[in-house]
Amino acid sequence: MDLRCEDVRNDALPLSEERAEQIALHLDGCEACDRELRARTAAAVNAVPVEKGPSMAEVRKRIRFDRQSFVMRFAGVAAAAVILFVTGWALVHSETPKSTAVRKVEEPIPEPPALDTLPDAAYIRTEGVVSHYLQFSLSCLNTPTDEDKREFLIRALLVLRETRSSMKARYQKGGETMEAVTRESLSEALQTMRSSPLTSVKLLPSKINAFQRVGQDQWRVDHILGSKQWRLTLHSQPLFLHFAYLKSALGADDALMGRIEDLLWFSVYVDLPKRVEDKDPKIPAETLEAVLPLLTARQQKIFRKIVGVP
Amino acid sequence: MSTDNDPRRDEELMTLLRSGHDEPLGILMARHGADLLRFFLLRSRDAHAAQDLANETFYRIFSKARTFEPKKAFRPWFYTVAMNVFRAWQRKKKPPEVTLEKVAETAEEPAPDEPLNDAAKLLDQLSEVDREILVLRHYEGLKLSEVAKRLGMSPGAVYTRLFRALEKLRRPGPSSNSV
Repeated sequence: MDLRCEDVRNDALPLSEERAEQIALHLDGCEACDRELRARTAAAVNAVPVEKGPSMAEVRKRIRFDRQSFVMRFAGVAAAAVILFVTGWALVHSETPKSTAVRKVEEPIPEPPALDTLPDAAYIRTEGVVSHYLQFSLSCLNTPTDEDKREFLIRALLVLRETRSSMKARYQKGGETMEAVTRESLSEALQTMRSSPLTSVKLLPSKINAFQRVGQDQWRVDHILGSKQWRLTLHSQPLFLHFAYLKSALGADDALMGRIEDLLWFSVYVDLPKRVEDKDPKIPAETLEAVLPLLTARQQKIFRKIVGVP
Repeated sequence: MSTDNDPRRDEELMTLLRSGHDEPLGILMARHGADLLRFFLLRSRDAHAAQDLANETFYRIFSKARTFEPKKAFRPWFYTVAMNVFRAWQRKKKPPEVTLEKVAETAEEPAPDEPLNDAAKLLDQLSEVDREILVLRHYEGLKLSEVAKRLGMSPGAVYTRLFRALEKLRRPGPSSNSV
């Protein structure tokens, strides 16, 4: 039986199987009715609310990130060469004071500043949380190979460095609590990690819903993992593993801090959240061993005080 | 369909993108971003994932612009890229038994579930088959008989399901799954 277009357009459910087949046949053969159904479908799909469109900032960040990764491969080789050179230089120079120590009157080594006395204490805390959380995310890799771990750590360090600028900007702008800035910074770091997914990462938190400090040395986040919200409570890393604090306390320039970060991130920092939870006693000694060769004699003394190992 | 004031066609913008300019990306995003998000929402029902996948798609549009042939239409190519992004995401999705190891085992406790957003609630009313029919019809432009062939059902059944899905989207009600 041939159907008229009006019949097709005015029919309502429920339809018999036979009737539905007839209508479907008509729709595939009648351009006008097909167009009308397509328009209705488009209207229905377009009515699905979208809260937030794709982000140009995120895409640009991803493009920039890939360019940086490319540069990083070359920079990594160069950095390794620089580290070797600086280590050698520091070793040679650490021996020279023996002959001149008698003649020189050394300035007294200042006590390391207490965190709360520093004007950028909130920024230091936020940066510490973000770096710690990014290392925690390493546990999201399901049975990773060494190569997977290395790839993740390189990516995470880049993300930390990229997130710093917006952290600083938020604090400079003012008006936000440390909790709010930290929550947003964690979210930004996660988004950046997720915008460039690694094949080895099967599961990564998708969103930070809340951040809160718990006492002096603990904090917690509510984050979405899979389809559920989870609460993660972690101990902060020791003060001597807060990069922003070290920069301030050692009076280190960006180049030196970059080398310190590179060294610590791929050694002491790996699996740090677990090690801190377990109160691993080797952390101070390993940190000293990694960092001391990069420092001047004076900075070495300050650093020993910060770590608390004479 | 153009939602911006730029008179240039998508294919012309892609030609510019091929030559290394990234400014056309913003225009393409304004034109197709919301539609692409809905495409991923229909597929995944996960607003966060949809956002990530849409960002990833536009990133790939930029990085793979050289593979676009300017004489061909933009939209099919665009949704082919989007589909590849979605498939890669599906492959990477964690198996349900995978949990955070090490620290997660000792340091985490469940917190309250996050409420579903409006789009997820709306799409929750549709079965996976219904959503697939919408995608094949709306995004791939298939005829009812072609959709039916793809899904192994009769054209009449496809029509009935499509009709019902459109009703549900038009008059959102309490969550109910039609499969």
